[in-house]
This record gives sequence, C-alpha cells and structure tokens, in this order.
Amino acid sequence: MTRHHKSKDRAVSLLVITPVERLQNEIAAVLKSFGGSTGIYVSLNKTQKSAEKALKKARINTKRLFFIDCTSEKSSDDTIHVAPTQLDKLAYAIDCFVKEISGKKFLLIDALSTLLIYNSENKVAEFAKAVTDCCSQNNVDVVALAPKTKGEELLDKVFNFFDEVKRR
Amino acid sequence: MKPNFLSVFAIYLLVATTLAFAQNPVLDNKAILEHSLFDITVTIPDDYMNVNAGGELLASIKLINIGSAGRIDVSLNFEIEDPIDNVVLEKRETVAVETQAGFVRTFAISADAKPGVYTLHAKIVYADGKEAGTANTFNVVEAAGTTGKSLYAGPYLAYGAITAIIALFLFFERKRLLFSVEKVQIKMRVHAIVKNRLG
Repeated sequence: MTRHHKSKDRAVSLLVITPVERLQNEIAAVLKSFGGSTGIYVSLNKTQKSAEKALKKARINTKRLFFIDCTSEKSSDDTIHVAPTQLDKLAYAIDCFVKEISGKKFLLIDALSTLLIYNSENKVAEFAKAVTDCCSQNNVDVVALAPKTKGEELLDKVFNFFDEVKRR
Repeated sequence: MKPNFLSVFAIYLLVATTLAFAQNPVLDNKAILEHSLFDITVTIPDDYMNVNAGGELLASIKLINIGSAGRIDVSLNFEIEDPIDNVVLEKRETVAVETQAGFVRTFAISADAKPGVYTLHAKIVYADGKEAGTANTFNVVEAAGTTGKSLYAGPYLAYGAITAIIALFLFFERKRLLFSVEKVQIKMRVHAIVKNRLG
C-alpha cells in the first residue's frame, strides 16, 4: 500500500473489503501508508471522538485529519456532521474539503457498506461515483473500506467506480 | 283656589296641541319638514366608477339635516340619466333622518345600456315641493362580467396567478432550495475548519 501510493503519478481509488474484526487495523494501516499527509476521514461506523481515540491508540497523528462524522449529531467546532441518509450533502462536504485543502491529500471512507443500511444500492453507487470522480479530478487518493459480510453482493454496483478492489 | 284666565288658556293650548298631534302625527313631520334644510351627497366608490352594462352600480348617500331637530321621514328620489340625458332608471324611497343618515344603495344597470358617461341624481323632496339634490357621474363600459368590480379583476387574477406559480415553485423546489442553503453553510464551515487547523 505504501509503495503504491508513493510511486504513482495519478490519484488512485481503492476499495478494501476486510473482515469486521480487522477493520480498525486496516484503517490504521491505510492512514500510516499516507504518512503525514492531510486527509479527510468520513466516519460512518464510529463517532469522530471514538474514531480519533482509536487512531491515537494506534499511534496515528490526527492533527492533519479532517473528520466528517456521519454517526453523531453532536456539533463540534472542528467536525462536519452529516446524516448517512444525506448522500448529496456528504458528497458536497467531501468536495468542499477537497477544494479547500491545498496540497496533497487523501480521502478515507470508513465504512462504505454502512451507507447501504440507510440508502438504496443505486444511491450508494451514485455517491461512490460522485466521490471518486471528484477525487480523480482533484488528484486525491481515495480508500474506502467495507467490512466483509454476508450481504457483500450489495456492493456489486459500487465496485465499478474504484480503480482497485482488494479483499483481505 | 280659583284658576285665573291665563292658566285656563295655557291648559287649553296644551290639550288642543296634544289632540291635534294625536289625530294627525304627519302634521308634526310636515311641520318639521317645512322648516328643514338638508344637505345631500352621493359618492360613487372608485371600484364602481366603471360599471359593465348589465352590472351593478353602488353609491353611498349621506343626508345631513341642518335645518331642524327631530326625526323626520323624507322622500328621496334617484334617477340615472344616460349620456343623452334620457332617464334610464328611477327609484323612490322614504328614509328617516334625525340629524344625519348615511346608507348605501345599489342600482342595476341594464344589459342594453350603451357605453358612456351616466349621471346618478339624488333628490330630496320637501313638503312644499321644493327639492334639494346632488349628482355624480360614472361610466358604463362594454365588458364581460356583472359588476363594476369585475373590470378590475384582471390585475388581481394576474397577481394571484403569479403568487400561485411562485408558491408552487417554492413547494416543489423546496428541497433544492434548502440544499442550496445547506451547501453554503457547509462550505463556510469547511473553510473555517481548514483555516483554523492549517492556518
């Protein structure tokens, strides 16, 4: 992963499907692979506070991470809160961060399949396309994680929009 | 005590007057009317200055009794004259007036009435046959509709239609409009967060 991100010229979009118990380790591994780059972290599984806590535990510096919290409605000064049902709003918030942050950056979505609980496959596929397009146009790497579950086939429509899909 | 001549005459006058009024109450009205002086005004509201043929004219009449005190019945005559001074409508009525009276009357304009300037005359006929009157003019116009107000319905309908279109647009586009507002809020917030963190 590290080698891949550092050697490429253009931005890459990657979907990582991993067992639920390994999800947190995968997130940590992805973030470490980006080194000290500035990142946008879309948190769909944990609140910004607990995600940040877990990352700090894994010795990851969160100072350059911008959180979009889709699980809590509590407003905080340095986080954007968007309901997981509002995919248009979520895509727009990502787009705003991508355009606002100068220099190299990445986007991490934890975990994409959660959106399928609240939205139809088509809506999630539409969202995935909008986000990967935006990131591709702005040379931003995208890593989306999805826990391996029995309903994995629900992600079928989403696969197409990522450059790579990795099962771990 | 023996009553003197003056007190007997006073009692006689009082009884005689009372009997005379009791037998002929009109005498009282007539007596007052003979000494009455009325001021009469006729006002046609702006909405009724143009009346469709077949429509209805509305006028406000005000009578002020400045000649005598007491409630009296007066005969009131209305006439509408066409542009060539032919009387096309006549109306008579009796109204009771004390010090002043104001009322509204409507007049049906014939569907055959030709367009032009018409005159509404209002006259008070005194007991001695003398008259006091006033007049006001209005226009009869050729247009569809039954009342003078219908002529003005066009602009109101247009405003109503525009309002309805705007309301429908806002109703159907409310989600998009709301999202536009939210977009601005998100953009400003993201800008503030990034600026705060990265400087």
